[in-house]
Amino acid sequence: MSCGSVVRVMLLAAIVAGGWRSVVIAQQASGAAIPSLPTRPDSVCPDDNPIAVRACGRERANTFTPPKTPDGKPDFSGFWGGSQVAHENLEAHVRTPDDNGGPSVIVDPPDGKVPIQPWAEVKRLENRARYIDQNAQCFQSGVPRHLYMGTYQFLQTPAYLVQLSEETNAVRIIALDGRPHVGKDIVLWQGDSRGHFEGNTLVVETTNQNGMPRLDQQGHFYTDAATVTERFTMFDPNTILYEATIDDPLVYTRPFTIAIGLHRNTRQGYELWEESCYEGESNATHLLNLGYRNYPGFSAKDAQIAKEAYERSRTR
Amino acid sequence: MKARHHVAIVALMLVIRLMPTHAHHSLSVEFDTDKTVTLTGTITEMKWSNPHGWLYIDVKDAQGDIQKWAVEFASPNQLYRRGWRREDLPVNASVVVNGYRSRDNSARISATDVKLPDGRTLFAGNNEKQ
Repeated sequence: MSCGSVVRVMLLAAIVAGGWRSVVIAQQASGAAIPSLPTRPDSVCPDDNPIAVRACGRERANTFTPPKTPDGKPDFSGFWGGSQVAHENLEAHVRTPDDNGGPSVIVDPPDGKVPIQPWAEVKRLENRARYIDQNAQCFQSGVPRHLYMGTYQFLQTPAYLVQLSEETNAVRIIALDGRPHVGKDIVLWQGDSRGHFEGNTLVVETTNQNGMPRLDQQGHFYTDAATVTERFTMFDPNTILYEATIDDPLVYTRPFTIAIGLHRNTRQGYELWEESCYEGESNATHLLNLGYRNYPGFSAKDAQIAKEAYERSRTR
Repeated sequence: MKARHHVAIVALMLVIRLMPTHAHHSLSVEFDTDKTVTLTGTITEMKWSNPHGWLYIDVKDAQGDIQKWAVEFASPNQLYRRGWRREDLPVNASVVVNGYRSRDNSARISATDVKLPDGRTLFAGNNEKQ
Protein backbone atom coordinates (compact mmCIF):
# COMPACT_ATOMS: atom_id res chain seq x y z
CA MET A 1 0.00 0.00 0.00
CA SER A 2 1.39 3.38 -0.99
CA CYS A 3 1.83 6.24 1.42
CA GLY A 4 -1.07 8.04 -0.26
CA SER A 5 -3.27 4.98 0.16
CA VAL A 6 -2.37 4.76 3.83
CA VAL A 7 -3.33 8.39 4.30
CA ARG A 8 -6.65 7.82 2.53
CA VAL A 9 -7.42 4.78 4.66
CA MET A 10 -6.53 6.75 7.79
CA LEU A 11 -8.76 9.54 6.59
CA LEU A 12 -11.73 7.26 5.97
CA ALA A 13 -11.22 5.51 9.28
CA ALA A 14 -11.02 8.83 11.06
CA ILE A 15 -14.23 10.06 9.44
CA VAL A 16 -16.07 6.91 10.47
CA ALA A 17 -14.69 7.06 13.99
CA GLY A 18 -15.01 10.69 14.85
CA GLY A 19 -16.46 12.89 12.17
CA TRP A 20 -15.21 16.19 10.92
CA ARG A 21 -12.60 17.03 13.54
CA SER A 22 -10.92 13.73 12.84
CA VAL A 23 -10.61 14.64 9.18
CA VAL A 24 -8.46 17.58 10.14
CA ILE A 25 -6.38 15.53 12.53
CA ALA A 26 -5.84 12.70 10.06
CA GLN A 27 -4.61 15.01 7.36
CA GLN A 28 -2.33 16.94 9.64
CA ALA A 29 -0.94 13.65 10.90
CA SER A 30 0.00 12.70 7.37
CA GLY A 31 2.59 15.45 7.41
CA ALA A 32 1.57 16.52 3.95
CA ALA A 33 0.19 19.88 2.96
CA ILE A 34 -3.59 19.86 3.17
CA PRO A 35 -4.94 19.52 -0.36
CA SER A 36 -6.90 22.60 -1.21
CA LEU A 37 -8.76 23.93 -4.20
CA PRO A 38 -8.08 22.32 -7.56
CA THR A 39 -5.30 23.79 -9.67
CA ARG A 40 -6.23 24.04 -13.29
CA PRO A 41 -3.40 24.61 -15.77
CA ASP A 42 -4.01 26.55 -18.96
CA SER A 43 -5.03 24.62 -22.04
CA VAL A 44 -3.46 25.11 -25.47
CA CYS A 45 -6.99 25.69 -26.75
CA PRO A 46 -9.43 28.46 -25.82
CA ASP A 47 -11.79 27.30 -23.14
CA ASP A 48 -14.70 29.67 -23.32
CA ASN A 49 -16.34 28.37 -26.48
CA PRO A 50 -17.23 24.67 -26.90
CA ILE A 51 -17.23 24.86 -30.70
CA ALA A 52 -13.74 26.37 -30.66
CA VAL A 53 -12.54 23.87 -28.05
CA ARG A 54 -13.76 21.01 -30.20
CA ALA A 55 -12.18 22.31 -33.41
CA CYS A 56 -8.90 23.25 -31.75
CA GLY A 57 -8.77 20.09 -29.63
CA ARG A 58 -9.26 17.83 -32.62
CA GLU A 59 -6.57 19.63 -34.59
CA ARG A 60 -4.09 19.56 -31.70
CA ALA A 61 -4.79 15.90 -31.05
CA ASN A 62 -3.50 15.06 -34.52
CA THR A 63 0.03 15.97 -33.48
CA PHE A 64 -0.08 15.32 -29.73
CA THR A 65 1.19 12.07 -28.26
CA PRO A 66 -0.62 11.40 -24.98
CA PRO A 67 0.98 9.63 -22.04
CA LYS A 68 0.68 5.87 -22.49
CA THR A 69 -0.06 2.95 -20.20
CA PRO A 70 2.39 0.01 -20.12
CA ASP A 71 0.20 -1.74 -22.71
CA GLY A 72 0.48 1.22 -25.06
CA LYS A 73 -2.96 2.77 -24.64
CA PRO A 74 -3.56 6.48 -23.97
CA ASP A 75 -3.36 6.95 -20.23
CA PHE A 76 -6.21 9.00 -18.78
CA SER A 77 -5.26 8.41 -15.15
CA GLY A 78 -5.34 11.41 -12.86
CA PHE A 79 -7.61 13.99 -11.30
CA TRP A 80 -9.87 15.86 -13.69
CA GLY A 81 -12.63 18.45 -13.53
CA GLY A 82 -15.49 19.41 -15.82
CA SER A 83 -17.78 22.35 -16.42
CA GLN A 84 -20.41 23.82 -14.14
CA VAL A 85 -21.93 25.52 -17.18
CA ALA A 86 -23.33 22.31 -18.68
CA HIS A 87 -24.72 21.25 -15.31
CA GLU A 88 -26.70 24.47 -15.10
CA ASN A 89 -28.02 24.41 -18.64
CA LEU A 90 -26.87 22.68 -21.83
CA GLU A 91 -27.91 25.75 -23.79
CA ALA A 92 -26.49 29.28 -23.56
CA HIS A 93 -27.62 31.06 -20.41
CA VAL A 94 -26.88 34.25 -18.55
CA ARG A 95 -25.17 34.69 -15.22
CA THR A 96 -27.53 35.01 -12.27
CA PRO A 97 -27.21 34.60 -8.49
CA ASP A 98 -28.00 30.94 -9.22
CA ASP A 99 -25.84 30.26 -12.27
CA ASN A 100 -22.35 31.01 -13.46
CA GLY A 101 -23.79 31.37 -16.97
CA GLY A 102 -22.04 30.59 -20.22
CA PRO A 103 -22.35 29.55 -23.84
CA SER A 104 -24.19 26.51 -25.11
CA VAL A 105 -22.13 23.32 -24.80
CA ILE A 106 -24.00 21.81 -27.74
CA VAL A 107 -21.76 21.67 -30.80
CA ASP A 108 -24.12 19.66 -32.97
CA PRO A 109 -26.61 20.86 -34.09
CA PRO A 110 -24.65 24.03 -34.79
CA ASP A 111 -27.37 26.35 -33.48
CA GLY A 112 -26.55 25.19 -29.97
CA LYS A 113 -30.15 24.24 -29.19
CA VAL A 114 -31.31 20.93 -27.78
CA PRO A 115 -33.28 19.28 -30.63
CA ILE A 116 -36.12 18.32 -28.37
CA GLN A 117 -39.44 17.06 -29.71
CA PRO A 118 -42.47 19.28 -28.97
CA TRP A 119 -44.11 16.79 -26.61
CA ALA A 120 -40.82 16.35 -24.76
CA GLU A 121 -40.43 20.10 -24.34
CA VAL A 122 -43.73 20.07 -22.46
CA LYS A 123 -42.37 17.26 -20.30
CA ARG A 124 -39.11 19.15 -19.72
CA LEU A 125 -40.99 22.19 -18.45
CA GLU A 126 -43.01 19.94 -16.18
CA ASN A 127 -39.81 18.36 -14.87
CA ARG A 128 -38.41 21.74 -13.97
CA ALA A 129 -41.62 23.05 -12.42
CA ARG A 130 -42.83 20.01 -10.50
CA TYR A 131 -40.08 17.51 -9.80
CA ILE A 132 -37.03 17.49 -7.56
CA ASP A 133 -33.73 17.24 -9.40
CA GLN A 134 -32.11 13.94 -8.47
CA ASN A 135 -28.95 15.82 -7.49
CA ALA A 136 -30.80 17.44 -4.60
CA GLN A 137 -31.53 14.00 -3.20
CA CYS A 138 -27.94 12.79 -3.49
CA PHE A 139 -28.63 10.32 -6.26
CA GLN A 140 -25.98 9.71 -8.89
CA SER A 141 -25.92 12.03 -11.86
CA GLY A 142 -25.82 9.48 -14.68
CA VAL A 143 -23.97 9.70 -17.96
CA PRO A 144 -22.90 12.24 -19.10
CA ARG A 145 -23.90 14.65 -16.28
CA HIS A 146 -21.55 13.18 -13.67
CA LEU A 147 -18.63 14.55 -15.70
CA TYR A 148 -19.93 18.10 -15.87
CA MET A 149 -19.14 19.10 -12.34
CA GLY A 150 -16.90 18.70 -9.37
CA THR A 151 -13.65 16.83 -9.17
CA TYR A 152 -13.10 13.23 -10.12
CA GLN A 153 -10.31 10.74 -10.52
CA PHE A 154 -9.70 8.32 -13.38
CA LEU A 155 -7.97 5.03 -12.60
CA GLN A 156 -7.00 2.96 -15.64
CA THR A 157 -6.05 -0.68 -16.09
CA PRO A 158 -5.94 -2.73 -19.29
CA ALA A 159 -9.48 -3.94 -18.61
CA TYR A 160 -11.16 -0.93 -16.99
CA LEU A 161 -11.33 2.82 -16.76
CA VAL A 162 -12.74 3.62 -13.32
CA GLN A 163 -14.18 7.08 -12.77
CA LEU A 164 -14.43 8.06 -9.11
CA SER A 165 -16.43 11.19 -8.34
CA GLU A 166 -16.26 13.10 -5.09
CA GLU A 167 -19.88 14.11 -5.68
CA THR A 168 -21.95 11.50 -3.82
CA ASN A 169 -18.82 9.32 -3.99
CA ALA A 170 -20.18 7.85 -7.22
CA VAL A 171 -18.22 5.12 -9.00
CA ARG A 172 -18.48 4.40 -12.70
CA ILE A 173 -16.65 1.42 -14.16
CA ILE A 174 -16.08 1.35 -17.91
CA ALA A 175 -15.12 -2.07 -19.26
CA LEU A 176 -12.42 -1.93 -21.95
CA ASP A 177 -12.08 -5.63 -22.66
CA GLY A 178 -14.69 -5.99 -25.37
CA ARG A 179 -17.38 -7.69 -23.32
CA PRO A 180 -20.98 -7.13 -24.46
CA HIS A 181 -23.49 -4.91 -22.66
CA VAL A 182 -25.55 -6.40 -19.89
CA GLY A 183 -29.05 -7.57 -20.72
CA LYS A 184 -31.95 -5.24 -21.42
CA ASP A 185 -33.67 -6.01 -18.13
CA ILE A 186 -30.95 -4.32 -16.09
CA VAL A 187 -31.16 -0.55 -15.63
CA LEU A 188 -28.65 1.44 -13.62
CA TRP A 189 -28.16 5.03 -12.45
CA GLN A 190 -24.79 5.23 -14.25
CA GLY A 191 -25.78 2.80 -17.00
CA ASP A 192 -23.58 0.12 -18.49
CA SER A 193 -20.47 1.46 -20.21
CA ARG A 194 -18.22 -0.28 -22.73
CA GLY A 195 -15.13 1.40 -24.13
CA HIS A 196 -12.67 0.85 -26.93
CA PHE A 197 -9.82 2.83 -28.41
CA GLU A 198 -9.89 4.41 -31.85
CA GLY A 199 -6.32 5.64 -32.21
CA ASN A 200 -5.74 7.91 -29.22
CA THR A 201 -9.45 8.43 -28.59
CA LEU A 202 -11.35 6.38 -26.04
CA VAL A 203 -14.88 5.79 -27.31
CA VAL A 204 -17.41 4.75 -24.65
CA GLU A 205 -20.94 3.58 -25.34
CA THR A 206 -23.37 3.69 -22.42
CA THR A 207 -26.76 2.01 -22.40
CA ASN A 208 -29.02 0.60 -19.69
CA GLN A 209 -29.49 3.89 -17.83
CA ASN A 210 -32.59 3.97 -15.67
CA GLY A 211 -34.35 7.08 -16.96
CA MET A 212 -33.95 8.84 -13.61
CA PRO A 213 -31.07 11.31 -14.14
CA ARG A 214 -31.54 14.50 -16.07
CA LEU A 215 -29.05 16.17 -18.34
CA ASP A 216 -29.06 19.56 -16.60
CA GLN A 217 -30.90 21.69 -14.07
CA GLN A 218 -33.39 22.77 -16.74
CA GLY A 219 -35.20 19.43 -16.82
CA HIS A 220 -33.69 18.01 -20.03
CA PHE A 221 -34.20 14.28 -19.73
CA TYR A 222 -33.66 10.97 -21.44
CA THR A 223 -35.22 7.56 -21.17
CA ASP A 224 -33.90 4.11 -20.40
CA ALA A 225 -33.65 3.55 -24.17
CA ALA A 226 -31.04 6.28 -24.63
CA THR A 227 -27.55 5.55 -25.89
CA VAL A 228 -24.79 7.95 -24.90
CA THR A 229 -21.56 7.79 -26.87
CA GLU A 230 -18.60 9.61 -25.37
CA ARG A 231 -15.24 10.38 -26.92
CA PHE A 232 -12.24 11.17 -24.71
CA THR A 233 -9.32 12.69 -26.62
CA MET A 234 -6.31 14.19 -24.86
CA PHE A 235 -4.91 17.06 -26.89
CA ASP A 236 -2.35 18.47 -24.48
CA PRO A 237 -0.87 17.02 -21.29
CA ASN A 238 -3.59 18.51 -19.12
CA THR A 239 -6.75 18.70 -21.24
CA ILE A 240 -9.17 16.13 -22.59
CA LEU A 241 -11.62 17.01 -25.33
CA TYR A 242 -14.80 15.41 -24.02
CA GLU A 243 -17.61 14.87 -26.50
CA ALA A 244 -20.88 13.13 -25.68
CA THR A 245 -23.61 12.30 -28.17
CA ILE A 246 -27.07 11.64 -26.72
CA ASP A 247 -29.30 9.50 -28.89
CA ASP A 248 -32.86 9.01 -27.67
CA PRO A 249 -35.13 9.02 -30.75
CA LEU A 250 -38.35 9.14 -28.74
CA VAL A 251 -37.33 12.38 -27.03
CA TYR A 252 -35.12 14.21 -29.51
CA THR A 253 -35.52 14.87 -33.23
CA ARG A 254 -31.93 13.79 -33.84
CA PRO A 255 -28.84 12.80 -31.85
CA PHE A 256 -27.05 15.82 -30.43
CA THR A 257 -23.50 16.31 -29.21
CA ILE A 258 -22.02 18.35 -26.41
CA ALA A 259 -18.31 19.19 -26.06
CA ILE A 260 -16.35 20.48 -23.10
CA GLY A 261 -12.75 20.44 -21.95
CA LEU A 262 -11.87 18.26 -18.99
CA HIS A 263 -8.97 19.80 -17.13
CA ARG A 264 -6.33 17.98 -15.16
CA ASN A 265 -6.12 19.02 -11.54
CA THR A 266 -2.41 19.41 -10.96
CA ARG A 267 -2.52 20.48 -7.34
CA GLN A 268 0.19 18.60 -5.47
CA GLY A 269 -1.21 16.09 -3.02
CA TYR A 270 -4.81 16.52 -4.11
CA GLU A 271 -7.12 13.71 -3.10
CA LEU A 272 -10.80 12.85 -3.24
CA TRP A 273 -12.61 13.07 0.05
CA GLU A 274 -15.64 11.36 1.44
CA GLU A 275 -18.89 13.14 0.62
CA SER A 276 -21.47 11.23 2.61
CA CYS A 277 -24.22 13.11 0.86
CA TYR A 278 -27.20 11.41 2.50
CA GLU A 279 -26.20 12.07 6.10
CA GLY A 280 -27.79 15.51 6.43
CA GLU A 281 -29.83 15.77 3.27
CA SER A 282 -32.88 17.94 3.97
CA ASN A 283 -33.41 19.83 0.73
CA ALA A 284 -35.83 17.22 -0.57
CA THR A 285 -38.07 17.62 2.49
CA HIS A 286 -38.15 21.37 2.03
CA LEU A 287 -38.89 20.98 -1.67
CA LEU A 288 -41.68 18.50 -1.00
CA ASN A 289 -43.17 21.07 1.39
CA LEU A 290 -43.01 23.62 -1.42
CA GLY A 291 -45.10 21.27 -3.60
CA TYR A 292 -42.39 19.55 -5.62
CA ARG A 293 -42.54 15.80 -6.12
CA ASN A 294 -40.01 13.03 -6.28
CA TYR A 295 -39.07 12.41 -9.92
CA PRO A 296 -40.31 8.94 -10.86
CA GLY A 297 -38.09 8.67 -13.93
CA PHE A 298 -39.22 8.32 -17.50
CA SER A 299 -39.03 5.09 -19.44
CA ALA A 300 -39.20 4.61 -23.20
CA LYS A 301 -42.70 3.22 -22.68
CA ASP A 302 -43.70 6.36 -20.76
CA ALA A 303 -42.25 8.44 -23.59
CA GLN A 304 -44.20 6.58 -26.25
CA ILE A 305 -47.48 7.05 -24.36
CA ALA A 306 -46.79 10.74 -23.68
CA LYS A 307 -45.81 11.37 -27.28
CA GLU A 308 -48.94 9.73 -28.67
CA ALA A 309 -51.16 11.62 -26.22
CA TYR A 310 -49.54 14.90 -27.23
CA GLU A 311 -49.99 14.18 -30.93
CA ARG A 312 -53.64 13.21 -30.42
CA SER A 313 -54.26 16.47 -28.58
CA ARG A 314 -52.75 18.44 -31.46
CA THR A 315 -54.94 16.83 -34.12
CA ARG A 316 -58.24 17.43 -32.34
CA MET B 1 1.84 35.63 11.76
CA LYS B 2 -1.90 35.95 12.29
CA ALA B 3 -2.01 38.93 9.96
CA ARG B 4 -0.22 36.86 7.32
CA HIS B 5 -2.80 34.12 7.81
CA HIS B 6 -5.60 36.63 7.28
CA VAL B 7 -3.97 38.01 4.16
CA ALA B 8 -3.70 34.46 2.85
CA ILE B 9 -7.38 33.83 3.53
CA VAL B 10 -8.41 37.05 1.81
CA ALA B 11 -6.21 36.18 -1.16
CA LEU B 12 -7.73 32.71 -1.26
CA MET B 13 -11.22 34.19 -1.26
CA LEU B 14 -10.32 36.47 -4.15
CA VAL B 15 -8.93 33.53 -6.10
CA ILE B 16 -11.88 31.24 -5.58
CA ARG B 17 -14.29 33.88 -6.75
CA LEU B 18 -12.58 33.50 -10.10
CA MET B 19 -13.04 29.74 -10.16
CA PRO B 20 -16.09 27.73 -11.05
CA THR B 21 -17.32 25.08 -8.69
CA HIS B 22 -20.53 23.20 -8.31
CA ALA B 23 -23.79 23.14 -6.46
CA HIS B 24 -25.67 19.90 -6.35
CA HIS B 25 -28.89 21.46 -7.43
CA SER B 26 -30.49 24.72 -8.39
CA LEU B 27 -30.40 27.14 -5.48
CA SER B 28 -33.34 29.20 -6.68
CA VAL B 29 -35.75 26.28 -6.48
CA GLU B 30 -35.60 26.38 -2.70
CA PHE B 31 -34.33 29.89 -1.98
CA ASP B 32 -35.47 33.18 -3.47
CA THR B 33 -32.40 34.84 -4.94
CA ASP B 34 -34.34 38.10 -5.17
CA LYS B 35 -34.71 38.18 -1.39
CA THR B 36 -31.34 38.90 0.14
CA VAL B 37 -31.14 38.85 3.92
CA THR B 38 -28.51 40.07 6.38
CA LEU B 39 -28.59 38.54 9.85
CA THR B 40 -26.52 39.49 12.87
CA GLY B 41 -26.60 36.81 15.48
CA THR B 42 -24.92 34.53 17.97
CA ILE B 43 -23.83 31.03 17.04
CA THR B 44 -25.63 28.25 18.88
CA GLU B 45 -24.36 25.34 16.75
CA MET B 46 -22.44 24.53 13.59
CA LYS B 47 -23.11 21.21 11.88
CA TRP B 48 -20.40 20.08 9.46
CA SER B 49 -22.84 17.82 7.63
CA ASN B 50 -23.26 16.69 4.03
CA PRO B 51 -24.43 17.68 1.55
CA HIS B 52 -24.61 21.06 3.29
CA GLY B 53 -23.19 22.47 6.47
CA TRP B 54 -25.70 24.24 8.72
CA LEU B 55 -25.03 27.17 11.02
CA TYR B 56 -27.62 27.89 13.69
CA ILE B 57 -27.79 31.39 15.13
CA ASP B 58 -29.93 33.36 17.56
CA VAL B 59 -31.01 36.71 16.15
CA LYS B 60 -32.64 39.47 18.21
CA ASP B 61 -35.61 41.04 16.45
CA ALA B 62 -36.78 44.66 16.81
CA GLN B 63 -38.70 43.80 19.96
CA GLY B 64 -35.67 42.20 21.55
CA ASP B 65 -37.03 38.69 21.17
CA ILE B 66 -34.73 35.89 20.07
CA GLN B 67 -35.43 34.33 16.68
CA LYS B 68 -33.69 31.09 15.78
CA TRP B 69 -32.33 30.97 12.22
CA ALA B 70 -30.80 28.11 10.25
CA VAL B 71 -28.16 29.03 7.67
CA GLU B 72 -27.29 26.64 4.86
CA PHE B 73 -23.66 26.44 3.81
CA ALA B 74 -21.79 24.59 1.08
CA SER B 75 -20.54 21.07 1.82
CA PRO B 76 -17.83 20.49 4.44
CA ASN B 77 -15.34 19.52 1.73
CA GLN B 78 -15.96 22.74 -0.16
CA LEU B 79 -15.70 24.83 2.99
CA TYR B 80 -12.53 23.10 4.08
CA ARG B 81 -10.84 23.57 0.71
CA ARG B 82 -11.74 27.26 0.82
CA GLY B 83 -9.95 27.65 4.12
CA TRP B 84 -12.74 27.23 6.65
CA ARG B 85 -11.76 25.48 9.85
CA ARG B 86 -13.82 24.11 12.70
CA GLU B 87 -12.53 26.72 15.13
CA ASP B 88 -13.75 29.55 12.89
CA LEU B 89 -17.31 29.16 14.15
CA PRO B 90 -17.32 28.76 17.93
CA VAL B 91 -20.57 28.70 19.91
CA ASN B 92 -21.51 32.12 21.30
CA ALA B 93 -19.48 33.98 18.67
CA SER B 94 -21.21 36.89 16.97
CA VAL B 95 -21.45 36.70 13.18
CA VAL B 96 -23.01 38.65 10.33
CA VAL B 97 -24.47 36.41 7.64
CA ASN B 98 -25.66 37.36 4.17
CA GLY B 99 -27.84 35.04 2.12
CA TYR B 100 -31.07 34.27 0.35
CA ARG B 101 -34.39 33.69 2.14
CA SER B 102 -36.14 30.33 1.80
CA ARG B 103 -39.17 30.32 -0.44
CA ASP B 104 -41.37 28.89 2.32
CA ASN B 105 -40.53 31.98 4.43
CA SER B 106 -39.30 29.86 7.30
CA ALA B 107 -36.31 31.08 9.28
CA ARG B 108 -33.79 29.60 6.86
CA ILE B 109 -31.38 31.22 4.46
CA SER B 110 -28.79 29.95 2.03
CA ALA B 111 -25.62 31.81 2.96
CA THR B 112 -23.42 33.67 0.56
CA ASP B 113 -20.86 34.93 3.04
CA VAL B 114 -20.21 35.20 6.74
CA LYS B 115 -18.31 37.90 8.63
CA LEU B 116 -16.48 36.35 11.54
CA PRO B 117 -15.74 37.98 14.90
CA ASP B 118 -12.11 38.63 13.90
CA GLY B 119 -13.21 40.62 10.86
CA ARG B 120 -12.64 37.97 8.22
CA THR B 121 -15.37 37.47 5.65
CA LEU B 122 -15.59 33.97 4.20
CA PHE B 123 -17.63 32.74 1.29
CA ALA B 124 -20.10 30.14 2.51
CA GLY B 125 -22.35 29.63 -0.47
CA ASN B 126 -22.98 26.85 -2.91
CA ASN B 127 -22.34 28.69 -6.15
CA GLU B 128 -19.05 30.41 -6.65
CA LYS B 129 -18.90 32.82 -9.52
CA GLN B 130 -16.47 32.74 -12.38
